[in-house]
Amino acid sequence: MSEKGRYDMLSKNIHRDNSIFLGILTLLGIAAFAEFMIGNTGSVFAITILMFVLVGIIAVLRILMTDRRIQTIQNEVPDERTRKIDTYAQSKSWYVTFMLICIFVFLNTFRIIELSVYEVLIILFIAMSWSWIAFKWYYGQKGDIE
Amino acid sequence: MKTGFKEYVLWIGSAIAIAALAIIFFTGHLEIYVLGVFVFGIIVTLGSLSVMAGCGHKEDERLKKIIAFSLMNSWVTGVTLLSTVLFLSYFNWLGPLSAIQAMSLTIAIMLLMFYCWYAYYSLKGDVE
Repeated sequence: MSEKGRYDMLSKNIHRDNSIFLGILTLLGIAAFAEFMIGNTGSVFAITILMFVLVGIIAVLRILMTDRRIQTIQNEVPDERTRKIDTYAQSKSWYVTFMLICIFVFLNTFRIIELSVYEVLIILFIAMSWSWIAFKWYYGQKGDIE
Repeated sequence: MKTGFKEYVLWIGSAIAIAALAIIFFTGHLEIYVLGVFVFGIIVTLGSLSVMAGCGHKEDERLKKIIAFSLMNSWVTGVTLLSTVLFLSYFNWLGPLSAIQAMSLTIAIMLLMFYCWYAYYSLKGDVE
């Protein structure tokens, strides 16, 4: 099989794997969010949130490793499109995080919800990693950032 | 709108937002007039950033690139900072910090890191 054919096949497999992985992550995310909304006390909540954070970290590492695999196949030539998508996904994630913190400031000021420092940090960490993954996936599916 | 003018609006908006954040951080609570100033600063900052990053406009490719890369680096710094603070708070090494102080600190650092990278890339001329 030619180099291009090998690359196309692997790229297709990676995208399929990533779609399955993202589906599982989304389900876990919905479960954790439901847990958060229904009863935010007790060890079950803590374990769910911890799982959510760990899955987020694993997802970020997995994406980074996937990019590395693609780059290795392309003989270490950096893929301009992937770099562009990465940059724009992170910059959009920056906006999301920024707006989310502002919303939390309002909610906290008007005592709609009262969160501890630990809870705020965990939610922000989750929002940052997940919004990046979501934007990266979206732009990857779209093919470009425009 | 000229880029120079947009830049001034961005700097002024951010200066207002950072001043409000400093008040929130050092007092530990949020008065209604500080909230008003904070909201104004954030709206101006995000608005001018969106315009400069070129939502639908393709006038300045270089500026768009510089903003995107600065935001990306600010994001990476934010994630690193959050991980560190999370680690410190898990072991109770963070000291008496309220949720509002943690939030204001995060916003301020994200903004400041963005400006550091923005200034660096602007002086350099490009992101490469």
